[in-house]
Amino acid sequence: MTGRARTLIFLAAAGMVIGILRRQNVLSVMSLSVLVWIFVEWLVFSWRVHFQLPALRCSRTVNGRAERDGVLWAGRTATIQVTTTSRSRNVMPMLMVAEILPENLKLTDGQSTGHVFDAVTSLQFQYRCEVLAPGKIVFTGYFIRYQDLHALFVVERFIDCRQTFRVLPAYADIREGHPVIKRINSLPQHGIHRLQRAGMGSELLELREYVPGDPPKSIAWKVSARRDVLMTRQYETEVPVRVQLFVDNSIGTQLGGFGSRLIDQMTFVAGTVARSSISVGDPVGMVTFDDSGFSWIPAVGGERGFYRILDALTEAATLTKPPVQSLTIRLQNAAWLVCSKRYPELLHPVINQTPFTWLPVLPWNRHARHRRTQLASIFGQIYELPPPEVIQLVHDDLQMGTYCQRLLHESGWAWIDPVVSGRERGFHHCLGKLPPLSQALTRVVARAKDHEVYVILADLLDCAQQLDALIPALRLAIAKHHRVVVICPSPIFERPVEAFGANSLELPELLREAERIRVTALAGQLKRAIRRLGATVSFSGEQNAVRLILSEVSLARTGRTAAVGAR
Amino acid sequence: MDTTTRTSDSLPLMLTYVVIMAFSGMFFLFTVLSWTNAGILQQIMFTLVLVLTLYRWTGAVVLFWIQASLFFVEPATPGAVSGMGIVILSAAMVILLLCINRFRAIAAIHHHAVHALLEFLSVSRSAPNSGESGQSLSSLPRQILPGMVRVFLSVGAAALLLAMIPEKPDAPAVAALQPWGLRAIQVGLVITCLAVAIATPVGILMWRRISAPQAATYLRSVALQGIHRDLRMVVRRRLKLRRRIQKRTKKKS
Repeated sequence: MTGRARTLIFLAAAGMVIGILRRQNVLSVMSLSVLVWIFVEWLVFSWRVHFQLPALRCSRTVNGRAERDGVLWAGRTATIQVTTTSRSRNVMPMLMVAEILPENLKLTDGQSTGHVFDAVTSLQFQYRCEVLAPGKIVFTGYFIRYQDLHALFVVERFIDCRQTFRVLPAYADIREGHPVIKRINSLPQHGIHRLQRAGMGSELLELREYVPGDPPKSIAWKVSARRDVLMTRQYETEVPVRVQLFVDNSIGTQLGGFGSRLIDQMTFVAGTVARSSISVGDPVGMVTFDDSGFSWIPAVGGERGFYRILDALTEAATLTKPPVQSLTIRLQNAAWLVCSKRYPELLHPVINQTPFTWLPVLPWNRHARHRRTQLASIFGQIYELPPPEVIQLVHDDLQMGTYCQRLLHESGWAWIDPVVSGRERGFHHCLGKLPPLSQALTRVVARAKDHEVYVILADLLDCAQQLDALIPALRLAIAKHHRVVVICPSPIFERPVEAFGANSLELPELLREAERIRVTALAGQLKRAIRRLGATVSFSGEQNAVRLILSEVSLARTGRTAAVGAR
Repeated sequence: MDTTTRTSDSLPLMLTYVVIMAFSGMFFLFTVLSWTNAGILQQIMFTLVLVLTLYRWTGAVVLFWIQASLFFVEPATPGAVSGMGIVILSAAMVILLLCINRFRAIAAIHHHAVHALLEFLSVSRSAPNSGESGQSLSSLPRQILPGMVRVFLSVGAAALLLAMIPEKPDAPAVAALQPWGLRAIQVGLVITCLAVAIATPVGILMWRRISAPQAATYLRSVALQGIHRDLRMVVRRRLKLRRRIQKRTKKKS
């Protein structure tokens, strides 16, 4: 019953009593009519809620497809059409159907809510949204609000309509073209590059004096006759250039809003580099690592290999389990908000009863305790918890925080406040991943062939002063003549700049400047440490990082150590 | 029947309710407020109250205004309720209340309902044969009539109930109460008994149709009410022990 109905009932009852006592027939009849009318409306509403509302069905098509599983792409737009029908004859009026949009989707066109004002056979509405980040999107269902025609009674329900989508990462389609004019003896086959070292290629590298053991067919007779000394032709090597991507999958890279996380930057760069390399036939391998270990995809090529890489990047970007944190008011309120949308029928005070306690005494504290007890009861129902654990949720902030986080995580909330506190990202997240990265790098180098490019996409800023676990592996890779590029996505999403200048004295601006100074200092230390080893390091944004990596790859293809100079 | 409902389909409906509100309001003005020599100011204020319900106020304000007007204006009429005039007047007032509530319910979904209505009026005047309005106009009676029928049934039932319980002249001797006092108690008791008699089986039927998660949640909460004190004591002791262990660990480190 809404406040409007309660007010009308109170006024009507008062008017009826006063009218009878004062013998005012019109007043009494009119007031009693209002009471009877509200009662009749309640009967009709109750019948509809318990007989027609359960017959509602919702279905959804995403980009024209209605399957339970599918694939979407980050950075692209999806068109979603919702149809609501009823197994009874009509969809009754004053119904609101609202899509519970995951946070990874941003509404761009249309509305994700439909309203019914008149009895219709079906309700259809359509909207478009942009997918922000790779990972997983789960459409859970629809929040239904049904009220009678006069807004005297309202009921809220949830209709389950689950669809799960894997979101593949976005990438820039940079395909390097093959030369169409023949400038050399023969065009190398797809995936093979000229390397200016002695080998069995088809292009001449140099002429040298004959040494015993050289094959007779390699003797250059005309040159030998001119010089009066036997000269041997030395040909270039033709090798494939393998690119190995190391993608940091640790907790620190997954903090932030969808589309603004470090992992989103890294997956974009990795996907673009993979696309570019595979387009010219270079195999690409990938290692994803975090605190617990690493997983390795050996170098693969072709379209199938590219999509395997994309699948691995999607797995890396899919949120696993947030770091545990204690309960905060905001976290609890967020969990309550989600429950009010996804489990509204379980919040009814008759269904979800709370035991009476003498404490707390103050009304607002009692209200907060009542809400927390109801939330604990809902968690007990959703996650099938035993009774002692339900009671523990009421009194244990850590346990309640864990379950609130779990609910928000399963509802597709990003790892920002209140799911994860803003100060959770710290150095302790960095140190744990260095040993797995080092192990992975060492193993890849051990099985590598010549001239590979290792691209390390990792958040190493906070462990710039403690790189001891990583440096031996980097030294080994460089000693084996592989090229190493370290790309550090910037947590402030800008290049660390030297100049300090806060535009105002506002606290958020000062905090931002303080963070910028800290990041700049750490970036300088990291740069010095890694460049000393002979590797390339950059804190670029997405396009700059891609450009840097592709230039390193092209250098590896030519066998040069620097971009300048030509043979 | 249309398969898709559009927001603009509600504008003819809202306009219809505004027209009915206007007629009901004028009926009240020319009947109740003419019982006494109600000034122009009083009539203007009532009209203003009606107009303000289009923007913000709900039917409760209008109901209060009507009841206050009747309180001050209507003469006392001993005896049973009789005459169609009372029924028609009451029905008109309840219809006014119905239309206001319905208008506000639809306007709550439209953010700028009145502006949309005015725009709709200007558009429909220039293009009276637009497909959307034609489609909506044909369905208007189907949307409005059931509500009106319920109102007339409610008014009839209320009038019948009050007519069947007249004042008893021997109330002071029988119950040591004034006749109107006894009648108020009798009407209250009858209404309560009728409401309980109808609402109880309806409530039982509704309770038996709750969903499985609701039933499980209810059983859990009811079961916990009996044992929550003991479990709370156990949980609190465990938490106390955990905090003590954490303190000791911190001290050692």
